[in-house]
Amino acid sequence: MSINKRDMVSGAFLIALGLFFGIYAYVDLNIGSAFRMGPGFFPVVLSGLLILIGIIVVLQSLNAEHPLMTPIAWRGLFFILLSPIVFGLTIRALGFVPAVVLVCGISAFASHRMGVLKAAIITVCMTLFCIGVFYYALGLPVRLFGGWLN
Amino acid sequence: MVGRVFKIAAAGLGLLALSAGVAAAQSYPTRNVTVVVPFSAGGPTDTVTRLVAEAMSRDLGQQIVVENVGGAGGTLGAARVAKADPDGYTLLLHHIGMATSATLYRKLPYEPLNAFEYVGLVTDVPMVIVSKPNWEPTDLKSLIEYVKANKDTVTYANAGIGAASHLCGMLFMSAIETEVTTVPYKGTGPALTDLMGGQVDFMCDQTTNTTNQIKSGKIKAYATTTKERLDNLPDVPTAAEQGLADFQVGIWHGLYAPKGTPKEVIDRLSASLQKALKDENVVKQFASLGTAPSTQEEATPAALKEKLESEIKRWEPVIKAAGQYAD
Amino acid sequence: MEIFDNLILGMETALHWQNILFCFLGVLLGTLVGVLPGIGPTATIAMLLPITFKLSPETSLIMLAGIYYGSQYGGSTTAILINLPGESASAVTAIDGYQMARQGRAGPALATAALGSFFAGTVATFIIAIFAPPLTDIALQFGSAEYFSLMVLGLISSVALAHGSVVKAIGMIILGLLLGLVGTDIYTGTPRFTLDRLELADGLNFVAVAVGVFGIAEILRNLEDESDREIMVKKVTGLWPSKADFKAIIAPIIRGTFVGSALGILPGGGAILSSFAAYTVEKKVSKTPERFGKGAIEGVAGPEAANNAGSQTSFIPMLTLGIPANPVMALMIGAMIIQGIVPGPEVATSQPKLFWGIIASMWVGNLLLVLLNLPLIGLWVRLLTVPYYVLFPAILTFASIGVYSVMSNEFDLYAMAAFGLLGYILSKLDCEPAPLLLGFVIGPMLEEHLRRAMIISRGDPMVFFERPISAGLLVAAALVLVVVLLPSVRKKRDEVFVEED
Repeated sequence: MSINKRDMVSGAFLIALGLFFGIYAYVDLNIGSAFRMGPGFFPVVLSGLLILIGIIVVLQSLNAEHPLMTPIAWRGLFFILLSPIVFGLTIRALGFVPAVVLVCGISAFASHRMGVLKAAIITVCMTLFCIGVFYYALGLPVRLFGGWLN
Repeated sequence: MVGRVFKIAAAGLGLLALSAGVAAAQSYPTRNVTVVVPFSAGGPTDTVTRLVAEAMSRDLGQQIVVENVGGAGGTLGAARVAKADPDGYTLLLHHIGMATSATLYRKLPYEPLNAFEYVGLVTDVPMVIVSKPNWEPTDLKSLIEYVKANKDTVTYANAGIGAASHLCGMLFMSAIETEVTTVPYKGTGPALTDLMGGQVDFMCDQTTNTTNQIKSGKIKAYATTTKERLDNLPDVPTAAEQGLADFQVGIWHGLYAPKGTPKEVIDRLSASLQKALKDENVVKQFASLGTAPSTQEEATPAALKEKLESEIKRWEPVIKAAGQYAD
Repeated sequence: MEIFDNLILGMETALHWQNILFCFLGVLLGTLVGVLPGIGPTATIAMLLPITFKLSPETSLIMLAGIYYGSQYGGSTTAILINLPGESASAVTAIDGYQMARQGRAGPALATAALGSFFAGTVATFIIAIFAPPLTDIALQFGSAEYFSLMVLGLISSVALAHGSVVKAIGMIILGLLLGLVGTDIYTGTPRFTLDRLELADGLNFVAVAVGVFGIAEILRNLEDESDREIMVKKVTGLWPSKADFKAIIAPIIRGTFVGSALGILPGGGAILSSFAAYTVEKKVSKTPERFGKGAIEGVAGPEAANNAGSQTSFIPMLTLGIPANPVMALMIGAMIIQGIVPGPEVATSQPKLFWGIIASMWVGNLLLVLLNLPLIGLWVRLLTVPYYVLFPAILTFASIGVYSVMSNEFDLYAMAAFGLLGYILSKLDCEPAPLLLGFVIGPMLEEHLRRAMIISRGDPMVFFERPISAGLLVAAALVLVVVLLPSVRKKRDEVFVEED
C-alpha cells in the first residue's frame, strides 16, 4: 500500500495543532455551556473540528500516491527568518539605520548567489533609500541611531 | 535584553555628564519630541493629542511626533513610555484608563503611581447617557424606573472592558443598585451603530463620540455627567438636576513623562502645555468636540498627580465590586 | 433632479485645481507607499496623515481619499508582483494575480486590476450619491444575528477559494479561525492563547501574519532551487490585456462591483468579505473552474472590482452616521475632526460642498489612479526582471519596516518570522494560505457576533432563524454548502478512478 507521506504529515500536523489549541483552551479557559458561552467554548469546538479534519486527511493519505517533493531551503530558512528577528531586536536599541543594514545584509545571504561585495552594495543602496523615504519623506517615528549609539 | 545593556551604559554615561545636565535641560528641546498615544490613530484621544501637540510644537520650537502604540487598554503604550529614557523626548498622553488599569489589570508591567512624572491635565471630556431612538423613557427619572422594572430585558452597550462606557456603566448600575445585561463591543463605533439600529437599549459615552448623533436625532440623550449643562448640548439636563447626585464622570486626559525626567524639562513642558491650552485653534476644536481645555491650574504636575491618585482610589471599589478584570 | 445638482456642486469642488493637484498627489503617494511590501492602506494613511493638516478641510479629505485608493492599488500591485498582500483584500488578488505574473502576464493582471477598480469606483460613486440614506437604513437593520449568518455564508463560500484538497482547505480555515481568536476575549476580558505576553493581548497583527504566510513563504520557496533560472528572472510577455482577456473580464467586473457595493455598506465589516465573495462567485460561475488558482484573469478582475466598490461604499456609514467601518475610516474621521468637521448625519446638509465634493472626488480619484498607474505598469513589470537574489533582501527590508510601522511593536516582527516558518511548512504540506487568512480575519467577528446575538436574545438560538435577514442568509449558506460539496465529491470519485488505473 502506498502512502502519501506528505498528506500523512499534513494530517498529523493538523491534529497536533488541534490538540495544542484544544488542550490550551481546556486547561486555561472557562468553557461555559452552549447557551452561556465562555471564552473557551468556541476554541474547544474549533480544535475538535481541526482534529477531526486532521484524521480525515491522514485517512485520505493511505492508499494514495506520494507526490514529488521539492528540496527544503535550509540556508534560506536560517537567514530569512533571522533577519526580521534581528530587526526587531535592534530597531530601538541601535536605531533605524543599523536595523535596516542588518535586516538587508543578513537576508541577502540567504541566496547561494550572494557575495560579500554584492551584499554590501545592495545594503548601502537600500539603507540610503529607506532613510530617505521612511525617515525624511514619511516621518516614520523612529530614531536613526538609538539607545547606546546616540 | 540587548536594549537593556545599552540603556545601562547610557545611564552610566549620563551620570558622568550630570554637570552638563542642567545646561542641557535649559536648551531642551534640541530635537523632535515623541508623544505616545496608547490607542489607535483616529480615535478621540489621538485627536486631542494631535491638536495639543501641534500647538506645543510651535511653542517648543521642535516638531512633536505622535506615535500610536495601542493595545491592552492603553497599558502597552504606557509600559513603553515607562521604560523610555527620562530625557523629555518621550511622553505619554493617556486618559482615565491610567487610573482604572491600575485595578483592572492585576499584572501590570509598570507601577501606576511610581513610573511616571506628571506634566499636567489636558482636558476632561464629559459623558452623556444615550439610548436608541425610540426608547420609551422620556427622562432620566423614568429611565431609572424603566430599567429597574425591566432589568431582565434591558441591555446596556459598552465599548469593551476598560473603556469609558464600561466604567460609566459600572458606576451607573451601582448608583441605581440594579444590574442589567451588558453587551460589549469592540470600540464605540460598533456600539453606537447597534444603538442607532435599535439592537441594544442604552449606553453612556463621551461627548466627542455622541454629540453629532444626538443633534441629528439618531439617538436620544437623557443626562450629562457634569456639574452644569454643556454649551453645545443645552437641552440635555445634567444627572444631578434629575436626582442622580454624585454621578459625575469625566474622561480626563493627562500628559506624562517617564520617572526621572529632570524637573527643568517637566517645568518647560508644563508651561508649553498651558500655552497650548490657551491657543485659539485648540479651544475652538475642543469645543466642537464637546469638550474644553483644562484650566491653567489643572495643567500642572501637582494637579495631575492628585487627579490620578484620587481617581485610582475612586474606581478601585467600583471595579472590585463589579468583579470584571481585564486579565 | 436634486442628485444632479448635488453632483454638479461636488464636481465643481472636486475639479478645483487645488483639489485635483492634491488628489493626484495623494494617489501618487498612496500608490508608492502602498507598493512597498507589507505596508497596507492603514499604515500608509497613518504615515501620510500629518501632511494633510496644513490643507483646507475639503482638500485634505480629498487627498486622504486619494491616498486610500492609491495605497489599495499599490497593495494589489505587490500582491500580484511578489505575492505579498498588504491587507486582506489583496490576499485574494494574489491568488491568481501572482500566478499570472509567474507566467509572464503581470502586465495584463495589473491592467485588469486598474480597469476593474475604475469601473467599480464609478458605479459605486453613483450608488453612494443616489442611495446613501436608504442604504444606511438597511444597514442599520443588520444586528449581530445577521452579521453572524453573513459570516457563516462567507466562510462556507470560501471553501471555493481552495484549488486543491477541499478537506485541507477547511482545515486551514479552522486553523485561521483559531489564530484569529488569539488575544483578549471582549466579553470576559480573559486573555486567550496569549502565552502570558502583553503584546498578544490584542491579537496577532494581520500584516505580520499575511506577510509571513504569503510573502516570506514565497521567498523561501523560490530559494529552494536557485539553479532554476526561470524563477530567478521572470520573463514578460506583453503589457496589455489581449482581446480575449478583455472579453473575459467584463462580466466579472460587473458582478464584482455589485457584490462589493452591497457588502461595503455594512458597517460591521462587510467590506472585508467583498473580494473573497467575488472570487467565489467567479469560480462558481465559470465554465472552467480548474483554471482558478493557476492564473485565471477572472480571479483578478472580480475581486479587484469588488474590493474597490466595497471600499467606496464603506464611506457611506462614515458620511451618513459618522461611524467608521474600518480603521481607515477612523483615521479619516480623526482627520476631519482635526480640521474642525465632526462627521455625522448633518454633514450632508450643513456642509454640502464638503460632502458632495468628497463624493465627486472619489470618482476623480479613481480616474487619476487609472491614468497614473497604467503607464507605470511598464515600470513595475521591468522591476520584475531584476534578479531575484537582489530583489528579495529589499522585499524583506520593506516588509520588516512595514510591519513595524503599524504599531511600533517589535514583537510583530518576531510574529512575522514565526508565520513565515509556518507558511513555508504549510506550503511544503500543500496546504493553502488564502483560506487561513480568511479564517483569521473572520474568526473573531464570527464568534463576537454569535455570542452577542446570544446575549441579546438571552440564550435563545432560534434568534438566527426568527429574524428574516439572518434566516435568509443561513438558507443561502446551506445552498452554497450543497453546491460547493457536490462537484468535489464527484471530483474525488474521478480521482479515485484515475489512480486505480
